[in-house]
Amino acid sequence: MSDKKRNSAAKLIVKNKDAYFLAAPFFLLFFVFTVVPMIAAVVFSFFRYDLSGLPEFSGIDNFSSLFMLGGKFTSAAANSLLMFLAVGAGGFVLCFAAAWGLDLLPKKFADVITIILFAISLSGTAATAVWLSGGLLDPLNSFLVGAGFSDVPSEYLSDGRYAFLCVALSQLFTTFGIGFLSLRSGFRAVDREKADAAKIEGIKNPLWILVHSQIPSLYPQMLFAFAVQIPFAFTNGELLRILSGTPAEDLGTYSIMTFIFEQGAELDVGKVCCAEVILLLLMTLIYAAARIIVKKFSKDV
Amino acid sequence: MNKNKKQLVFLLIKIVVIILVSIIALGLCAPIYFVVIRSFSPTEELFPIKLFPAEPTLRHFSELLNGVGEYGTPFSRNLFSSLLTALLTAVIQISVVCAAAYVLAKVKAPGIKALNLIIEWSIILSPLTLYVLRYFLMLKMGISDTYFAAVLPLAASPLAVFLVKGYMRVVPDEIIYCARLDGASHFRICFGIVMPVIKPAIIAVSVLTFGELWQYTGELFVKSEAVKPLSGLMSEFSASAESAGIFCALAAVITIPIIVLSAVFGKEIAQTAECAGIRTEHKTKIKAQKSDKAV
Repeated sequence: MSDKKRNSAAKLIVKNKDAYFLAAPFFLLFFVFTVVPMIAAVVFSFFRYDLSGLPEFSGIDNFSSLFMLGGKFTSAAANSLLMFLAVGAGGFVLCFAAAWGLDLLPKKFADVITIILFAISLSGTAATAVWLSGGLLDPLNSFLVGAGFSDVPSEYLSDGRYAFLCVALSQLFTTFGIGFLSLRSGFRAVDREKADAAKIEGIKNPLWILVHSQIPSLYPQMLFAFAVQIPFAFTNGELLRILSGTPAEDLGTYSIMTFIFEQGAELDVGKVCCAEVILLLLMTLIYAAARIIVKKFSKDV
Repeated sequence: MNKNKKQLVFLLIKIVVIILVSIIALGLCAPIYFVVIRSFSPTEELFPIKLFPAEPTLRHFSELLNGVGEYGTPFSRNLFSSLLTALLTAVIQISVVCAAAYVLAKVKAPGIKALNLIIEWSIILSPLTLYVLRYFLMLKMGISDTYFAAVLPLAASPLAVFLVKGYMRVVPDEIIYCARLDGASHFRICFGIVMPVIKPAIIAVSVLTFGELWQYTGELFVKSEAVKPLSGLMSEFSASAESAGIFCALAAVITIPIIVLSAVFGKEIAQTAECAGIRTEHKTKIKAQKSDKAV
């Protein structure tokens, strides 16, 4: 029996061998630039290495020094998680609410708004970097000072009181990306039969329709939107920091990604790899949790 | 009478909601609008903020285009390297991604399912998450300071494959089955039959990648000025008195093309997003199909 199976598998491979060649270029690039770095990160997190000379085995020294570093990494991890709650989870809820709300409005109008939101999400980071670049002549300061809300211009991205809020808000501003589009079209393609049945029953409450007929058929789109939101929340603040030319400082916005860039500039491979391993584990765990929840719910349908 | 009244109230509510949403949307456009409009304002008019400059000028743009960086490299050179990187990425990505997506979506052979799962999980690896690791790798490979440093990782983007793969469901399996029976190779089917049909997905993915690339800063990677992308200049300017206008002009040059592209190709992007969704119930579905065929 198993021999037969093996034979048919071999036959399928031979029959479709050009398909493997077709997929090969992508997976070769994917392997070199995605899989290799990840494997290397796990390996080199146990070494002391500065890219010149030979790596030196150091056991778990890197990990322990990461948590010793005057609490720098610990607070970075805490900041990253907070940012994820605000931008990742919060942004997802925002996307979902917006997609639902727009679905209740006339289609043409909703489509225009959707495209505006998407265009902002794709292009907005550079603009927000200008707004938050600091100095009297950045748009935010020239508005606040010009209108009399504040007397002196301040550097909002390097001010401990406002930095987190500024980054979180500007991230939420650019949150309506491809995941949001997927949710929007998911609402449109939702099982119309169920909605019609609800209408016949005389149910007009949109909330009832949402919970009982729309959400159950939206799980794939919701999971996709959430998956896209995870790396966005963990990394995009760093892009904003780089674009606005703000130095990395010990603030609420000092995230794991900031730590990685800082150590990366000093070529401290061991510490970077450690931090990457922790970051990737964190993201994987969050995605796995979401996936398990969705899988459990979609079984009941 | 009563019914008419009710309808009128509904209509009124609808109009109010539409007006409110329009105001919110306009408010969301404001940050980008002001950056663009300030790039046309003379420096004297930058403070306080103005809705529209009294004397619009193109001076900042001409200064940007004719400007020269710290080491004597003209900024137009940075613009050129950004364009070249975008073009290179688009060409490599489209050919590589479409081929892989076709195989992942339409070929049933051992190992394909595992590759599908890997791609699904790799969505959470955006380019920035592996940025520094790739920097180390490319330093070792000796290509960190070239265009390829930006092009190659983005060309093999898992999100791009996932999106194109999802869109493949508009291509009926029967067509591919018939073509296979006629003896067509997977190469011919992919590039001859499938590619023209999935044009919207190709456009959507290209726009997304362009947006990502156009804001790629080359931080760490890029040492030589000639390779530096346009966004890499952002951090060199600040809103200081002399360069605030040029800074806005640079941001406008980065922002406007992305907005234009996503507005022009909004329909294609929406069509592609419609097919994006992670289905967790793969197994049961495939089993059900198999039993159908057996019957």
